[in-house]
This record gives sequence, structure tokens and C-alpha cells, in this order.
Amino acid sequence: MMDSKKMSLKQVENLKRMDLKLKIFIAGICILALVWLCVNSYLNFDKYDPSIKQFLSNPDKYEGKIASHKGNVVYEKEGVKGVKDGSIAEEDMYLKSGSEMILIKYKEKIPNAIFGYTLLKGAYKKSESNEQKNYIEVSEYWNNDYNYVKYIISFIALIYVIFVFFREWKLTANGFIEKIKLE
Amino acid sequence: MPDLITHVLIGLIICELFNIRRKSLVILGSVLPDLVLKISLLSFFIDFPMKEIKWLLIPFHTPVGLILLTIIIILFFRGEYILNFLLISLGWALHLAADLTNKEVFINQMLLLYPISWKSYELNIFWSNQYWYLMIISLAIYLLIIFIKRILRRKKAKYI
Repeated sequence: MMDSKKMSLKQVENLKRMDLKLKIFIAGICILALVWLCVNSYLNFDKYDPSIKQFLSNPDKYEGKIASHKGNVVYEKEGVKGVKDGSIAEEDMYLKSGSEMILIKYKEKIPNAIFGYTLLKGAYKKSESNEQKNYIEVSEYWNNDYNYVKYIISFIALIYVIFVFFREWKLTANGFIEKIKLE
Repeated sequence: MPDLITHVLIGLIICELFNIRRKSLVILGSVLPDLVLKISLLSFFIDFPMKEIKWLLIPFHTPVGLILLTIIIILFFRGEYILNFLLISLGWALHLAADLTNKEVFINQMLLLYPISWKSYELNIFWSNQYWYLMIISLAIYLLIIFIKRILRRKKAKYI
């Protein structure tokens, strides 16, 4: 009787170990597949939506390509004195997108987005002069005013999700278990 | 792209309509697509190449990437893997459906058929900063459902 009980406990332990091994194997495959998906999109996105960095490092390759951009429109290039010393015309506009900055041209002045960012669609253009002033010829834009409010209120939602999740589930050594089942 | 409150509300509406008990899994799924991808938005505050980061993380906002991520998540739960998988998947499917209302100037993040196709699917209804239209609509629907359910429960209790 005792022996059979010991056996069954051993079996349960073996099953648990097998279960863990299987879980690690499945997770490993999924992580590898996810990494492949990420690397694939990172290596190929320039064919569909090249970045400013890619264009500035290789203007010949990306000239004429249409791309979308998110960022803030500024009227004076960072690090350049700009309007005052005459190196940048007063109507020159630049797009600051992340760590990149590029000259943009549009038929009219693009106003700054208020507590948000500007969305742009435009073609990359190589400067005809020797001067290093490659630019984006903007065809369409939209100012997402007050869009940062969305991210602030989204943070509240995130806290709510964490709260509801831990109200229903408890983390144990065997993983998350529904609290109702524990009761 | 609606805000996360709207995504959570849409998840809660479906939970209330179909009496889903494990709401937390549905609403976890409903925020899942934005959890990783939105790291790229930090570039509004910190200088780093936004587009490169966005495209690196975009698979987390596609059905294939989300299926893989859901499989990894359910491994942290004990048992009932299929039910948990379905509930989390319902959440992110609702998220992607809500994101279809996006209006964009060009390619966005709705690469529903990635890696087979790089086409971005949008219905072009709301700009990103018009998120509050959907938020008000979903909040009204959610409150209405709660209200109707409460009335029905009271009526039931009276008859008993």
C-alpha cells in the first residue's frame, strides 16, 4: 500500500517535470519565432516605410520613396543658430522625430501640434545643390493635438488591468491559480 | 488608435454580454497589443530612433505575434490552457478590431497579415487624437449594459 503510494507520488513528480520541460520547449519555440518576426520586420521595413536615418545615410537609395513620420515640427534646427544668422530661412521647417531631424517642405506653414505630435506623409528628396540639405516633400499632414492626454489616461487603464488581474489570480510556485479555486 | 481605457471597456462589454467570468484574461488581452509596441513612443521624451524601434516591435501588434505571445503567457497559468488562450485571444482580437477604425496618413501598425503581407488595414474613421469618440460610445454602452442587467436582476429577485 505504502509502496504504491510512493510510486504514484514519484509518477506525479515525473509528470510535473515533464510538464515543465514541455512548457520550456514550447516557450522556447515561441520566443524564437517572435524574435524571427521582429528581426524580419526590422530588416525589411525600409522597403515599405524607410526611416529618416536610413534616408540621410543613403539618400540615393531612398530618393523619391514615400514614408510616414511622427514628430514635432520645429522652425530652427538644433545646434544651428538658424533664423537669426540667416543660415535657415524663416520659413524653413524641420521635423524632429525621435533622435532624427530633417528639413521638410510643404505648400504652407505647418503649425506645431499642441500637447501632441504631427503625422506626416511625404517623399524623400535629395538636395540638388552640394549643400547637405536633403528633405521631405510633405504631401499630407495631421496634427494630433492633445494626443499625449491619451497616453496619460491609458496609464490609468493599465493600473486597472493589473488590479483586476491580481484580484482574480494568485501567483503560486505552480503558476497563476484562480483565487475562486483556492477558496 | 483608441486609448487603453476604450480597449478595456470594449473587453468588459463583451464579458458582460456573454457572462464571461474570467474578465481579467479578456482585458489583459485587450491591452496586450499596445504593451510592447508603445515603447517606441518613449522617443517623444528620450532621443532614440523611433521608427526603427517601432518596426522592430511591430510583430507584437500583429495576430501571428500575438498568438505566440499568448501561448507564452498561458504557460504561466496552471491548467485550462485552451480556455485561457481563447479568452486572452478574444481580448486582443477586440483590440485589433477597434484599431481598425484608425485614420492614418500612410502605413500604420495594422499589419494583420504580417509576415505574409505588409499591407496596413484601416477603415479610416478616427484620427489618433479623436480617441474620445470611441471612449464615450463604449463607456455609454458599458453603463447601459450594467444598468439593464441590474434591473433584470432586481426583477428576477422580486419574482423569487
